[in-house]
Amino acid sequence: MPELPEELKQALDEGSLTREQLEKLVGLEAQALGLSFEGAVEAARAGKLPVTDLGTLLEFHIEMLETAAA
Amino acid sequence: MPIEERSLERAIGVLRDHLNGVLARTISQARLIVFAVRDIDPPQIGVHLREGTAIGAQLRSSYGGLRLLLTQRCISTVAGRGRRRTHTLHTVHYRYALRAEDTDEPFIRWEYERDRPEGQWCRHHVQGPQTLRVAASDVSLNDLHLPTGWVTIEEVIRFCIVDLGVPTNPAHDWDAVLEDSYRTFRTDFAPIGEV
Repeated sequence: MPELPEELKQALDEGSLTREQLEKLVGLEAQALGLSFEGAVEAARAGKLPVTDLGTLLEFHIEMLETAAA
Repeated sequence: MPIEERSLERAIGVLRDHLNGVLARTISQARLIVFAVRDIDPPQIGVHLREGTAIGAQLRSSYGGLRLLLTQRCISTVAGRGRRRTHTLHTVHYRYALRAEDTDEPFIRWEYERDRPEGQWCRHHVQGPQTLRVAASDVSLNDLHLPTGWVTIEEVIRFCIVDLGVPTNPAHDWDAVLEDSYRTFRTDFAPIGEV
C-alpha cells in the first residue's frame, strides 16, 4: 500500500469515503505503480494492470468508480 | 435474509464485525477494511483485507508462507421511509485469492461478478496459472472460467486449514466458528447472491 495522507487513513478507518477521496486513493495507488490516474483507468479497462496485490486492489477501486460512472 | 439495518453505517458495521470476528477466531488477526462511498449512485461498499500497511493476510501453511487476499464489493439499496427505512447490502463482486509469499501472482482465485460479463463466461468461477489438459491441448486455467457455486469466505478459510495446513487460533474451535458463521450467512444474513 502507498503511504496515505492522514485524512484518507481516517476516512478508511471510519468506513466512509467521498467519491473525491476514492479518486484520490486511486491516484495514489496508481502513482505507487508508476501510473497516472488516467493511465491506470485505461489499463484497468484493458485488463492490463499488474497482477500484484496493489494492482488488484487498484483495479477493484477503479471498478467502484467505473460502476458509478456507468 | 440479507444484511438489513436501519442505517448504512450499521449494515457495514455488522458485515465488518462479523467477518473480522470469524477471521480472528480462526486463522488471522488481519482486519477487513470496509468503506462506503455514498455520493455515487448506487452507494458502493468496498471490502478488502489488510494487515498493517500490507494488503491481505499473511498465513503460514504446510507449503510455506502464503498471503490471503480478499476483495468484495456491495451495493446498498434502501427501502421504506422514515423510521421504517432500511439499508440492505447486496454483493456484486467477490474475489478471494491465495498466493505464495515469494510470488506476485495468486495460485488460485475464486471470483464472482453479479452482472453477466461481456465474455458471457460463468459468473462464479475459479482461475489460476495451472495447466489443464484439454483433449490434445494444454490450456492455462487463467484462460478458462471453471464454474463454481457461490463460494463463501468460510469455505476458503476451511480450505486453508484442512488442505493447506494453516494453523488455527487455539483459543477457539475453528470448525464450530465456521459452521456458526456459515449458518448465520445462510439464515440471518443472506440468500445466495446477497450479503
